[in-house]
Amino acid sequence: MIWAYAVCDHPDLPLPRRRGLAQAPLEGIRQDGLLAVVSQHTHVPGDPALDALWAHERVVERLMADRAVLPLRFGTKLPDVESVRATLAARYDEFLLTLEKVRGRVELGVRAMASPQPDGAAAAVVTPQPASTPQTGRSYLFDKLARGHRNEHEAGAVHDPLAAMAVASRRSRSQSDDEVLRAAYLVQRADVARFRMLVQRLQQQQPELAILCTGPWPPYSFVGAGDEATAIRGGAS
Amino acid sequence: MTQREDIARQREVALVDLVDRLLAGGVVLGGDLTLSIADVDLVYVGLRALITSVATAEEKGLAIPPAQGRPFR
Repeated sequence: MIWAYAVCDHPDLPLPRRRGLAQAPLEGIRQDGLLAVVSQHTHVPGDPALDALWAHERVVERLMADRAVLPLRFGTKLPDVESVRATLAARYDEFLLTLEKVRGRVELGVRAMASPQPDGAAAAVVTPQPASTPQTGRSYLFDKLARGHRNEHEAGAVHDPLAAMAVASRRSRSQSDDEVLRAAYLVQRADVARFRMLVQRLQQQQPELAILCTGPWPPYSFVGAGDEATAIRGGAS
Repeated sequence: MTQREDIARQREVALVDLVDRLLAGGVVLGGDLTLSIADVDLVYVGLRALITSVATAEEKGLAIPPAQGRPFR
């Protein structure tokens, strides 16, 4: 069984000596100008324990240090070398194109959270609860609508300047009421420090939000299906 | 927000970002993924529980050693 981490180009670059899942050594499977980085296993790994997630992530990050990578989703398994080659051949042009898009760029994650209200402070971090029970369905809906408008306004004030600095950006649906913005930005490596400074500046301008920036990540959010939702900053806009 | 809440929240965000990216992002090769969508939801639940328990332990002044290498076999 073959566990796959990433697809790269420049197949002649030596692979890092870092080990993969279950301490298995990394191997490359080549198809013309593409290389799949994998490890071979007799048992099926894939328990999504944090250790395993980090092991996969570190392999991809290490590869990203000296080449462009397409990170593969955690849990990508193929039966044998031939099937890996066949997949690379079948999607060859698509992979080359996406590699060009992410070359020299990294992904940064940004999340803006509304600071917990004083009356709901204790519960807000883990399980957000309504601070008080609304009296009627009508007032509940008005509250919700007002909160939605306010959140969208705050989200834009953070997202728009960041998106303008990024090569591409992608917003995801918030997962809770206090999460105002959840987004990923594809940024030139050389712009990472500038991007972080902009995050700090936005944080100072919006003290009522907690703005958290993670990364640099491999470009997980800019290589996959559903990428049509990605806003690419082009000459026209 | 106290500093401790702040740290707990930052840790939570980094882990959720990791899970988001590895389990919902990236290129999908073929159809053979380890995890179904339902499994991914379970990972989030487990993650929440883990983060909460670490935060609670720190609240009580207990130090939890970081997980040691050696992933599963």
